[in-house]
Amino acid sequence: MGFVAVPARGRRVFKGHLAPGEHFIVLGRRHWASIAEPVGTTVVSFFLIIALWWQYEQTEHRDGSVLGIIWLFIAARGLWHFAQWWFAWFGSTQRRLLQQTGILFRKQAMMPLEKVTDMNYKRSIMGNILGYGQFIMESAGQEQALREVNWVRYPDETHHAIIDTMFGPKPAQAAPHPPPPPPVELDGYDDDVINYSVDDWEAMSSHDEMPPSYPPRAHDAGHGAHPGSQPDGDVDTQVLDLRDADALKSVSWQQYRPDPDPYDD
Amino acid sequence: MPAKVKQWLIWLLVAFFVFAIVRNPAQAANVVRSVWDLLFMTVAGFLTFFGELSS
Repeated sequence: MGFVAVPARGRRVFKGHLAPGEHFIVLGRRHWASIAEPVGTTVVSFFLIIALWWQYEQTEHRDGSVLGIIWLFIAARGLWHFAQWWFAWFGSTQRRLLQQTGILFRKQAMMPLEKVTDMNYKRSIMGNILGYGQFIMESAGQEQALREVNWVRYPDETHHAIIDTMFGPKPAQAAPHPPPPPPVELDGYDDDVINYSVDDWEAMSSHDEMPPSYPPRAHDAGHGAHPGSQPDGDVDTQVLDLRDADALKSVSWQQYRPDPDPYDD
Repeated sequence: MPAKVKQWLIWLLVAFFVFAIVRNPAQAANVVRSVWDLLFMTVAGFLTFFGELSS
């Protein structure tokens, strides 16, 4: 089975534990090598005990079924480890690292990605051969809930996905809530006309979430403002006449920043 | 560094087993058989002991 960044079963495990808009970028169980010993012991001891049992009954002609009971304990231990592996998940959303462990006592640990000051990625010799790795997160806090993550399977892919999220190009952020439009008292003088500048007209007009009324064209139709104003990219300043009620209504205020920082580009 | 030392010892042990099998297969088989016999006698002893106790 190849690398699946976010298996559906793992997503169900964390259902209800994610913030709105949060989604996993990578998620998975531990590497199988983490339970190789208990499972291997269970299988090997099965054959060993069968052989001992058989030889005992052959040579001593006595009942050796106690050996079967001993094996049941070994098998129970193996099963317990397997179940722990089955229910343990580690992954990363675009905002934090998340780990869930435990069957009877469930524990969920997390670490916001912004808080991770340093991340070590280690692979031992066996890790290189079998394909697992170890992450060690350093953060400003004293005792972190999620410091060491062992047995990361597909460690290269996982590491890459996390690093990409931490340092890669950020996806376009949704516009923050717009400030309420300033209360204007119109007295008919020239200072009623306020200049609003639009920094990047082209980028904004290609924005996906543009309200249908955008760009405001009311004043272009001859309601006031500049007779020669052009709504296209080469013009970065629009003049809005606050005396014009229709033009005001058609303006989407969140697109305008009243006082642009001259040093901000 | 104890973890590293342990790792080295394990690899050394594995290498020795391989070396022993290659160098003298018959004797290596004998060693395995005697180890098995020792294990079996221990287990059989305990089984008989507890069997006698409960009978």
